[in-house]
Amino acid sequence: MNELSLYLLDIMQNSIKAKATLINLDIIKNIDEDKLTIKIVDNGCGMSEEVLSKVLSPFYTTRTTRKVGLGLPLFKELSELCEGSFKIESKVGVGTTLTATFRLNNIDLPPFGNWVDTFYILVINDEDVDIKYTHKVIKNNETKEFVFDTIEIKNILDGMSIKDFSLMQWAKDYIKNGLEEIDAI
Amino acid sequence: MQVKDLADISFLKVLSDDATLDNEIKDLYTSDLLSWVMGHVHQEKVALLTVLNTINAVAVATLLDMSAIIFCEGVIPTDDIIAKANEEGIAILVSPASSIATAREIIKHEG
Repeated sequence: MNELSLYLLDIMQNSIKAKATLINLDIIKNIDEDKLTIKIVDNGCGMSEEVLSKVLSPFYTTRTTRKVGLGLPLFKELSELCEGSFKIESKVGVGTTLTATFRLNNIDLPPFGNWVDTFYILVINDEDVDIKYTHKVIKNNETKEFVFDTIEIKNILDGMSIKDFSLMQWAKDYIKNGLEEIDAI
Repeated sequence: MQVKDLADISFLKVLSDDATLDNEIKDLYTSDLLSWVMGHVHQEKVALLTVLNTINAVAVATLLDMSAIIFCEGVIPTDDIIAKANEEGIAILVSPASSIATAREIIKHEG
């Protein structure tokens, strides 16, 4: 994966597989501190301490079709390679919180890639899963913020599907313009 | 070519068990981005040349049915990497040379 968006897609799909109904995605680009923080909080089934202790091993997977699971180990490796940190916490019946940081100017930090389309794949992946996405940019002690909350959007839509083609194009433009306005990516 | 043929190259050293010496090598691939390797190696029995000293390299090699990992530029894999590779039947070799210089030597050796 040579784009951050593909890592996020893979990890948030884990939240969906864990039967989460709400995923909070917070991305903070702190230019003042030269730091990128990505935090994913879900209310999925969570993991026991035993599973949590194994989940960063590439030879642990819940899949039955193959014996390795590389999404989390590679994301952890990337954060460490980029002079950042990686932390995962989980509780059965409560959910999972993953926090990864990266040094923004690290030469090995991959670009976000096609983040808008990738994010929207997650939005339409399962209409029963809500995503609250907050993207902040901190520069010169000033914070600019963009928020995309599917709960709010669904309320406005009043029964119309978020997968509706005309809405998809509007939503993608809305996200793209919102991120451009705060110079997020 | 087999792993034992590579052992003939003076600067290459095999660190894995003798059981891996018969592993067949059909091709070489060099990369230091494992997710890229996952997306681009479409053949079995490939030897991966890398500087990434991580257990994830063994996991990717297992996933792709690779026959060997050659750690280049003097990188020495940790004991847990060698142990896991032995368990998975993947040969581990080390080279003091760069990935490209190592690959060049292997190709020359193969004739």
